[in-house]
Amino acid sequence: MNERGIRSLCELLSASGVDPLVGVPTSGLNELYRRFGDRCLFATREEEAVALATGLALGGRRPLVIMQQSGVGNCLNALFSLAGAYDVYFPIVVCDRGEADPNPVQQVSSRETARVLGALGAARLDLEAGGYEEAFGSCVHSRVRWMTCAL
Amino acid sequence: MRALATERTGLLGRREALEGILSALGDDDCIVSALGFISRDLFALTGDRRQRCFYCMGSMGSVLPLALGIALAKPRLRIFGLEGDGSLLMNLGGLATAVRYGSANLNLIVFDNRQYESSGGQASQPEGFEIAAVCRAAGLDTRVATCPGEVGAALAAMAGASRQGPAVLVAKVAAGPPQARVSDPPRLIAARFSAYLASRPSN
Repeated sequence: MNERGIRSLCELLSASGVDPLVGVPTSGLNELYRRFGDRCLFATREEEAVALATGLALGGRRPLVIMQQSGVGNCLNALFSLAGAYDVYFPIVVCDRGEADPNPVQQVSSRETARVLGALGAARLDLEAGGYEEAFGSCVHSRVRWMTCAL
Repeated sequence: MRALATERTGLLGRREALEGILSALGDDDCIVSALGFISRDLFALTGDRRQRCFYCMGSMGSVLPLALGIALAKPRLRIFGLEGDGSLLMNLGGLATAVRYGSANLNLIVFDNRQYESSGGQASQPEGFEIAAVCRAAGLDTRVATCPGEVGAALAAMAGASRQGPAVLVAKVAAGPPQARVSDPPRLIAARFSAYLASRPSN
């Protein structure tokens, strides 16, 4: 995991007015969960996180779903037939372990999920470069659902 | 695959159960209903309270987390999730999440006919498996109803019970033909429901 990337992600999400953060715990993001404290809800599966976020958004909250790339496939039915079909917006940030991950199954997951994220039209947040806050704000403004970043 | 679940007699009808639930709810109470026959029947019976109902037409297994999200955003409203037993089985982990974060304003009603009725009646649970026992083991305040009178009594007890967390009612229902499909577009359902929630206090 890239510590600079994680710090950038923490700063980005802390500054963005997200409330709450919803997701399945992902390795390497403890600093993010610590910063959000009670404004962080853990689900047992990514599809559940999507349904939970849909309810929160219907009730006027500003949730953001965060997941590792391995969770993308787990959530697509609720994403399409609930949040998508009913037009309930909240952003989803996918943390991609990358093809260089030391775990060989994550390498395959990252490579294959990248194709899925491409088909979903995911925007890339480059946390190494400056200006990612602007990019995130612009995505939210235009209701871009999927964003992905390397961690 | 096991044999199709056989039609059982002497059980509560789905429509009777829904009518019992609707007559026990107050003016502000909101309902989230599961895909398939449950949403279809609820839609047919709620022409006068559309803005307080969110009729799911897909996303099997999502009723409980969806209702939990609404209940967290609107802690002063009572939210009732109407789920099928097969749909609940798709996301049993949601019970843990509901126990973890849910408050007394979250109520789950499981229409338990032990079959995937909307897809043709395939058996959903093995012999001896009881949804109510699973809910109790999760730590949820759980009741069971097998006749119309028990539905009303259970809902009255749920409203009056002093509890911190969510409550569950398992309604043992028979299979039966559904009402017509939900005819409102999903976007209208969500926009109307969200506007109703926005009109109510958030804390």
